[in-house]
Amino acid sequence: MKTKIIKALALCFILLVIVIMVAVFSLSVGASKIALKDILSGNASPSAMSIIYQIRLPRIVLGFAVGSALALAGVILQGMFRNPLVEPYTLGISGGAALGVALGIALKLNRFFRGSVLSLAGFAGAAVVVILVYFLSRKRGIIRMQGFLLLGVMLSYICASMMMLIMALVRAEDLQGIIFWTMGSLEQPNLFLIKLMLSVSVAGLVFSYYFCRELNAFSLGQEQAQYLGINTEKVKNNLFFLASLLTGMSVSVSGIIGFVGLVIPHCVRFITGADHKKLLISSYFIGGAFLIFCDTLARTLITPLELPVGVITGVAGGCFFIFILLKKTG
Amino acid sequence: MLQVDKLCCGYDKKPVLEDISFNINQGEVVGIIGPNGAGKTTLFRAITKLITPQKGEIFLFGKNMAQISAEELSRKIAVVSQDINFVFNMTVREFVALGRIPYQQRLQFFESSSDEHIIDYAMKITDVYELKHRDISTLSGGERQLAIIAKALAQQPQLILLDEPTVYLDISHQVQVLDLVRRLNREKQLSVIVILHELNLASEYCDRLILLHKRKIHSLGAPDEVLNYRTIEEVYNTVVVVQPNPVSKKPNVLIVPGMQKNRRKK
Repeated sequence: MKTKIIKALALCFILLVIVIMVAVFSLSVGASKIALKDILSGNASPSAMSIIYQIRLPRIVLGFAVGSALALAGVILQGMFRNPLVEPYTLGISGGAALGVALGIALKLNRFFRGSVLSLAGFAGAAVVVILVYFLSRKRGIIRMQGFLLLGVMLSYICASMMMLIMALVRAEDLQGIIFWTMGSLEQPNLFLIKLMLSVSVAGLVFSYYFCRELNAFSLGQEQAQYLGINTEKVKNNLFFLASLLTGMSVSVSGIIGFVGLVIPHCVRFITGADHKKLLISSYFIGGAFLIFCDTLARTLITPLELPVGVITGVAGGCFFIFILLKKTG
Repeated sequence: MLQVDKLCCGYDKKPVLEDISFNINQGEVVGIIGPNGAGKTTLFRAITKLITPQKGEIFLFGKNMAQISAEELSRKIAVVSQDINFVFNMTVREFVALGRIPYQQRLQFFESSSDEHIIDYAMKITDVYELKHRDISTLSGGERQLAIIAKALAQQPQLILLDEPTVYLDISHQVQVLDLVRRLNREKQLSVIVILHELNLASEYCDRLILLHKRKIHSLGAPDEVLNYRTIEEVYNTVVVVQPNPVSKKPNVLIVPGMQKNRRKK
C-alpha cells in the first residue's frame, strides 16, 4: 500500500511540475520581453508586472481550465461510448454554442447588453443541443448509445448549416466576429468567467472521480458493466451532463478549440494505461498544460500578430499523436 | 441455490421464453442447449436481471431476485461472455482487476491487499498469471477466454454463468477451458450454468442438461436422459446417431452428413 501511495504522489508531483514549468515559460515569453528572474524575484517594472498579472496570468489560468475541462470531457465521453474517435464536440455541443453566438452577434446582443452576453448565448445554444440530444435519444427511459452519437453528429450539421445561413445574411463586421469566435481564443477580459471556468473544471475532476469505477467498468461495454453491478442508465445520465457542462462552459468562454478533447486522452492512455484513476487526473493536468503551451505559441510565433489557438492545437496535437501512434505500432 | 419459477421473458413484450421452471443446486454444473434462437442467452439475461421477467419469479438462495440489488447480485453471480470487444489497450492484470469492482468503495483510490491477493489467485488458478503484463488484445482466443474466466473468479461468485465459452476455440483449448470449469466446480463448490452448442461437450462436462426448444424447456435431466436420437431429431431437425463414449460412457452425438430434414416443410 505504501508503495502505491508513493507512486500516486509521485505521479501528481510530476504532473504539477509539468503544469508549473509550462505556466512559467508562458509567463516569461511574449511580445514584450520580461526576464524570468525578474518575474520570480518581483523586480520587474510596474508595466511588466501589469502585463504579467492582467494579461498573461489570466490567460494561463483560462488555458489551464479550458484545456483540462476539454481533456476531462474527452476521457469521460470516450470511456462512456467506448469509442476512441468521440470527442467533446461530437455530440453537437460546439455546434449549438457556435449557433448561439452567431445568433447573438446577428441580433446585436453584444451591443445592447454589456458584459459577457455572447458567452451566455453560446452556453444557451450548447444547453439546447444537449437537452435535444438527451431527450431524442431516449426510448422508454433508456439512452441508446449509437443513436446518441448519430443524433449529436446530425445536430452538429444542422447547427453548422444554420450558422452558414446567418453568416450569409449578416454584415461584414459581424461576419468577422463570428469567424473570430469560432476559431477560439483565450483572450477573455471577464475575470469572473475565468474564475467560474476554473471552478467548473476543478469540480469536474472531483465529480468524474466519483464515477471512476463505473468508467472502468464501461470500458468492457454496457452489458459487462451491468454484470459488475453498475446501474448503467444512471451513470450515463450523470456522465453525459458532466461532460456537457465541461464542454459547454469551455466553448462559451473561449470559443471552439479543437483536438484537445480527442488527442490528450489518447496520448495519456498510451502512457498511463486504461485505468481511469490514473487516466482522469493525468489527462486533466496534461490537457491544461497542453493548451497553455499551444496558446503561448499562438501569441508568440508571429508577434505582434496572434494565431488562432485552434490552429496550433490541431497541428501540434495531430503531429504529436501521429508520432506516438507510429512509435507504438513500431 | 437458484430457483426459476414459471418464468416468462422476452423483448418488447414479445415472449422469447415461456413457462420456464428449474432449480440449480449448489455445486452443480448445468448445461443449457438448444438450437440458435431458442432463448439460451435470454435466460442468462433474466437470471442476471438485465431483463425483467414478464411473468414468473427467480429466487437466489431463497431471496426473490427483484429484491436483490445489482451490486449484491454481481457479488453472487459472474458472467463469462464470449463477445467482449476490447476497444482500448488493457493489460491482463488490469482486466482481471475489473472483477473487484462490485467490492470496491466509491473514491477508493487503491486496491486493498485482499483485492490484490484475490486478483493474483484468480490469474494463477486460470494459468494467466505469467501473461499479466500482456495486452489482452494480443492474447490467443484460448488465453483470452481463460483471462475472462479469471475476471469472473475475481468477483468471488457462488454461481458462474458461461455463455458459449468454447466458441472459436480449438479442441485442445475447449478441453482446457471446460476442465478448468469442472475443477473450479469440484474444488470450490462453484455452481455453473453453461450454454453450449457442442452437444458432446455438454454431455461430457454437465451433471444435468436443459434443452430449450420453441420458447419452452423441451427436456431436463442427466445427459443420457436428454441426449437421445429422437429428441435431437425433433429439436434440431437433424438425423444423428447417439453412442456412449467408450471411456466416459456419456452419450456422444454423431452426425450423419446429408441427413438433415427439410426445414421448409416444417
